[in-house]
Amino acid sequence: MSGGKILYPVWLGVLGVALLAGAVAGIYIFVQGHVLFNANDVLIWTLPLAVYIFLALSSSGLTLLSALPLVFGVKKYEPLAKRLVFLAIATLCGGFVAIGLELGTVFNMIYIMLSPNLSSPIWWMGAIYSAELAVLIVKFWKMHTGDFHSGFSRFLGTASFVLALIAPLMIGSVFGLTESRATYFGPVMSIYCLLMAVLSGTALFLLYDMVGGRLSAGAAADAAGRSVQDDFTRILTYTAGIVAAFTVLKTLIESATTIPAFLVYHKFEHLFGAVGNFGTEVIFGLFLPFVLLVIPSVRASARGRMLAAALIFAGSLARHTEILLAGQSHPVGPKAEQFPQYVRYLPSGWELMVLVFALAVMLTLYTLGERYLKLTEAPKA
Amino acid sequence: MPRYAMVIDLQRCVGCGACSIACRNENNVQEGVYWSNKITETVGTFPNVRYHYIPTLCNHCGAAPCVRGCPTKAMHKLENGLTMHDPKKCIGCKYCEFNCPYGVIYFNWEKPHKFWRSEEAVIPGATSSPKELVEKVGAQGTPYVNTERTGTSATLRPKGIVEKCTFCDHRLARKQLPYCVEACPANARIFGDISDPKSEVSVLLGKFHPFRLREELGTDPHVFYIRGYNPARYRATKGGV
Amino acid sequence: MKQVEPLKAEGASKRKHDSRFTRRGFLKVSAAAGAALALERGLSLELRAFAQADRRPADETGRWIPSTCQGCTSWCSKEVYVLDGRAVKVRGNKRSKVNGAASCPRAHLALQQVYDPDRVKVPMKRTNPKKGRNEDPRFVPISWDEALTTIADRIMALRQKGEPHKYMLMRGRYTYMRDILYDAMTKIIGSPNNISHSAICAEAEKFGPFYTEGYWDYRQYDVLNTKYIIIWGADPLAANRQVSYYSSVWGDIVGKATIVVVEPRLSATAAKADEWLPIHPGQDGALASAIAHVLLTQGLWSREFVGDFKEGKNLFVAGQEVDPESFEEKHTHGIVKFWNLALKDRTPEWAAERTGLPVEQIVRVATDYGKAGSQSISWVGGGPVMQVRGAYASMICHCLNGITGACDNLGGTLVNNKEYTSHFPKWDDFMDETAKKGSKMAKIDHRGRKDFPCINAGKPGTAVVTNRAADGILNADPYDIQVAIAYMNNFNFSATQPERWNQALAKIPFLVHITTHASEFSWFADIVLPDTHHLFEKWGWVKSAGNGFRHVTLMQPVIKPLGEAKIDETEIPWLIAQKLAERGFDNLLRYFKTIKDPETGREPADEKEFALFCVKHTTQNLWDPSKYQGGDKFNGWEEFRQAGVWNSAPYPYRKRWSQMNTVTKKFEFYSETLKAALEEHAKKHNTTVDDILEVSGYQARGELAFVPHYEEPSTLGDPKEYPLLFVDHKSRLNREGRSANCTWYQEFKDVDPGDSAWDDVAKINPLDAAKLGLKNGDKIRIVSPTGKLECTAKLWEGVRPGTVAKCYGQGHWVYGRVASKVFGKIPRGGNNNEVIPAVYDRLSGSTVRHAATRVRIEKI
Repeated sequence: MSGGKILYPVWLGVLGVALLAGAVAGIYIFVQGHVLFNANDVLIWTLPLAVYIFLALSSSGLTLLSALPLVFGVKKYEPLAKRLVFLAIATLCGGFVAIGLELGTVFNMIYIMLSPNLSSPIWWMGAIYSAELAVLIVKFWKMHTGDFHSGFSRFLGTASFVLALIAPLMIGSVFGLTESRATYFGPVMSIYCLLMAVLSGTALFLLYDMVGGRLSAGAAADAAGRSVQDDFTRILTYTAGIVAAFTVLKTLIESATTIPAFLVYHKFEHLFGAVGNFGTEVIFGLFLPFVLLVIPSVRASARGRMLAAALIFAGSLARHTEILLAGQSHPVGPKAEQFPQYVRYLPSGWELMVLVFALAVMLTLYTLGERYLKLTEAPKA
Repeated sequence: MPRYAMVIDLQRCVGCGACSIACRNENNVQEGVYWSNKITETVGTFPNVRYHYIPTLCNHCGAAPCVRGCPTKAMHKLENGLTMHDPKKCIGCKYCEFNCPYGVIYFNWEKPHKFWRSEEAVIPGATSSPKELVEKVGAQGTPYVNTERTGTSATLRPKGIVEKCTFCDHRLARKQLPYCVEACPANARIFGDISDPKSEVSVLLGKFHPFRLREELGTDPHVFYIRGYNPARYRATKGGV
Repeated sequence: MKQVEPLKAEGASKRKHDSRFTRRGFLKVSAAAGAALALERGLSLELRAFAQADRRPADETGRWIPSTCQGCTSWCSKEVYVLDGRAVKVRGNKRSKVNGAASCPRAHLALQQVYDPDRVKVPMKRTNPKKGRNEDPRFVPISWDEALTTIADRIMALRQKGEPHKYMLMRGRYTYMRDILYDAMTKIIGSPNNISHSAICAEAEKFGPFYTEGYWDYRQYDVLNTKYIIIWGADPLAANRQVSYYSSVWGDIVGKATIVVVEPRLSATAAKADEWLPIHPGQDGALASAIAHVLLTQGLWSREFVGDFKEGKNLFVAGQEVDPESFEEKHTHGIVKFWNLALKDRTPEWAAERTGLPVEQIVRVATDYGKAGSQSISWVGGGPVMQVRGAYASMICHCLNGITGACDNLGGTLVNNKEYTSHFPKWDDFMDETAKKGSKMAKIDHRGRKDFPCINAGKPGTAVVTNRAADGILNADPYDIQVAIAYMNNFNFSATQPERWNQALAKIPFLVHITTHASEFSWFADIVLPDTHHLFEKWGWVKSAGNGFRHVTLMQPVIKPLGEAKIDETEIPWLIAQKLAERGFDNLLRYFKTIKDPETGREPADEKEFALFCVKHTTQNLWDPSKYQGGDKFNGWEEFRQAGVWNSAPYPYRKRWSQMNTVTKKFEFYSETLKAALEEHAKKHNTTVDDILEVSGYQARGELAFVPHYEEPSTLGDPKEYPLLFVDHKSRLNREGRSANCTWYQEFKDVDPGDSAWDDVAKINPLDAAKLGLKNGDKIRIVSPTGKLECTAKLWEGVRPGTVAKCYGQGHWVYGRVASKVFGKIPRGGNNNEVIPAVYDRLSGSTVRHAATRVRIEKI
């Protein structure tokens, strides 16, 4: 396919520019400080942290999918295992880029090891994702060297699965354990994060499979491939349904409760606009793709799937951003004296560069891995 | 070991803000950051209306959410009850700031005292640039920088870390009261060892029905409020139907 | 001779690294060797302040040195913490019995004033000959020599032309060193035109007390012993006077006394009061009349102070005249005439209609106030009196203290305690013929003209009309001003209708401004001289009263002055005198040399010694044990300097009863004193008192003019076109309108109830805002018949509907990078004076700030 041959170097060029721009932006952020973000002492965490949450959760989702062949022994998916693990690694690396640029003094990270605080969900989150990255890399190395089934390799698979289950719970508890911010719904936030991990991870894999497949292998849409895509589409549909039900329930509770924090929360100005109590990103990033996926003809068509997966994928980032911002939109305590009642937000160029950089790192790793690491390799029967 | 606490007598407080300005002064706190702050409220409808003022600062909680959540123990408790911050260990994740129910933690979004780094003079030759003035008086950060603000939140903070009130730990170490206490013209702040039943704070807490901010969260704040900002009297009435 | 006390050994060893302090030994020598070391003396004088040994905690490496804060006219004694030669903190001087250790918030802001990058550090001159609001003066730095030479040449030229009266001195914030620059220098040069700022301050506040009890000054209030306080348009927890003292005791007072605040806006004090009476602006006199009416009809006057009906039966019945013979007065004069002329019809119902307050509230307040007896205070602030016809509001509000017997009494209203400072030597002998002739010319501010009685302390034509001087200059009436020097003032910002000042200043051919900051006034100056900051860099002293005491508090240089700044009231006149002497006119310098060091009898050798000797000379009675007259006792100058403050003896209650400085020696409800003053003024202009009152804009005719009484407010603007009344008030962070360039001012501006940080808001009742379609944060323009300003709308319940309240202090278009939005061009916020017309209370000469104008609000 000559189209692919031309597209590939262009694609590499785009990635190169994005990486370079991202790196320059990153250095600038560390020289000037986070004043470059449109964050402040009310809106403490903004887009870069949402990008981290989104990518970290997607990575967990991918790891959970990889457990189907690697832990639960679903043979049919074995050819996907290596790719899923690699994608999880690449996505998590993107996530780490985002959080690295979010931290004020990333060079003090050593104290995470030297001075760990076991009561801190952030510490656990960091520790688990670091462990997960390590486990995934070793697991990938094992698979790359042909070891799919040794005891150690199986242990690594199980370990990564367990870690990928806990990690989203930890991200959720970072918010859920904050007494003063009732609008994050306490422990429920952890369940939500786990669901979102599966949802965005599955969407990402489907997207990758469809786009990547077309870019590189061309007509790889053989029968087996189609069957796998059908299965994953089903997973996506179910998960989207559960998340949608969850979101409706959450929104209903938010609307009905009289807890003062929620009354303020209602006045949050949605970043992407809203229809009634539902944000645009919920309607177009969750409800719409769910409806599309429920329609058999759409679900059967490659374009339909791609559209739905793309909507869900982008919608997930948007929803993480919204949830993150909505919980911080009003100043706490005396900060209300200096800040407006509701703080508005639009990401700064520098924050968008963090998004670009994180995605570029992730996509570059995908691209190179796809090219050089034989990602479709499966264990020899 | 003492357990330090502060009692704020709202009836004595006149809402002047001297505590907060003095705190800026003592602790070299830069613009936009309020270690000492307030919550104000105008209650009622004209002509039955009053204005109320509650001074705020770090509550040095017994169960401090900022300490629990800090991944590196940069935010930590001392035996004397102070909630302290070690800037060396701070990774700038801002979780303490996110976690604090009292809105008393601030982040250094950039190198502090930007105002004083400017090199512009409004009348060149006849007035100074801020930077020039700081240098001329031999100071760092600001011309009036308090170099006796030593210890964990030393003179100038680096960017990328959080900061908050420390009950003036550097002054306590010299057997001096926190500067907001010292500077309050109304004697509305009373500081001391709550574990000592004879201390002034213990005596006052036993005399009144103190309240603390957001007690329902179980954070065990150690800044206590007594009496009311406006103790206005009125003629006895049973109301009417 | 007293030597400088050496530092304690411990302190000295800590400071070995600091080169300044290794000069200690030298200091001793210098102080002893006297004039021989003139070259180094300047240094030594500055450093003597460092050399004081105060007890301090072991780890404190700096030292606390006493000085005085003039951020407002409380004039608190302070201590400055000096660390490595830098001023780092400010606190109350606990030795003062007036303010003690308490320090209001504005004191801290002084640090950002003295270390303001936008301070003028060297003399500068204008290079753009055109003067105007929109003309950049294009200032360039010059040497002191060039500046002084130019000034001296200009003054000499005037004198040579025989027109020394065309010289003018404008005074702003002063110390009691003022007589040197303000009075002596002006007179010796030969001009009558020393114009102070006093009339834009609160002179009308002094009018009521003077024409009732013969006391022309601000009162102190015995709050700790009182049971009931009615505060009229004063905000002692925020602004003027003794803010630090009242802040320190208010928590006790609110538990003990009933506090009533009469003001259209919920002030800082009203927030902590038992009753807030949000009166219709300008109607204070109506409320006070009704309270007086209730006190008399209910028999709540002081039998001990006022006396009683001979028959014992209360004949004060609403609407009925009383026979003066039926009442026997004790320490007062004219209670029955007062009733008959001004009170008998002033019922609570009558007052309710005018004040917008419920009848029950008026009766309740009046009754409870009366029941408190003599332990009650009627506290008159600027609100009711800095109005057209405010003189009579001042009288009617203050005279309540006479009815209750609170005047000069325990828990009542007190005057100043005695203090024993002395004046400078007389300068009459140094005025030559030119000077004598010139200084007898009429003054530029029109005081004493028929329509400007301006009767300061009973003497017509003696009160300054600060704001009127602009018209005098503009219209060259009675003549043109050629050379003017002004210090620490900013009339085209701080006086109402400032545009007149812009034009007047542009018209003065040679204007010198002595100032810390390039201000709006400096914008029109030909030469700007850098001034010292009073709290940190200046020699001087001031006096004030509170807490039943009076203190005399010293300001001394605690740090080296910024750049080449020099002291306005002493050093600069000395330097000018030297230049004049070089040009053959040495009268001024010879006069200055008569002010000698009381300790050595030595003449000053330079400007720095002169500054010090002026202070020592005038305070000698306080610190020289051989001249001791009362109050705190010191062993000598050095001990006084280290204490920084002298306190009077405690207040002697009731010593003034029937010994008052009035015509009758009594508390005059019928003011024979005012009658005499008005008749004198009328006589001078060959007319009647009624005519004087008419041309001066008062409503009273006949006998009514001599008793406290209600006059209707005179407010500019048609209510249809201008629906809202403008209410001006002061900030607890204002350092007399000079602190807006401090970031702390902006950061903490919201400590004024209803105000916002980093903004300048007009507070509007939500009912009015709804009518006008305004919401919080809207940018608005306030327009009055005489001007307009731009600011931000703030909806607030603490304002009376129908009024708009705005804090004074912002709207600078020069002053500095923070105070202005664009330096020299665009203001940050709006200056209240832009919308207030230049009108006067002509009996006191005061410039009106309150109930002066109606406004309308436009959305921008």
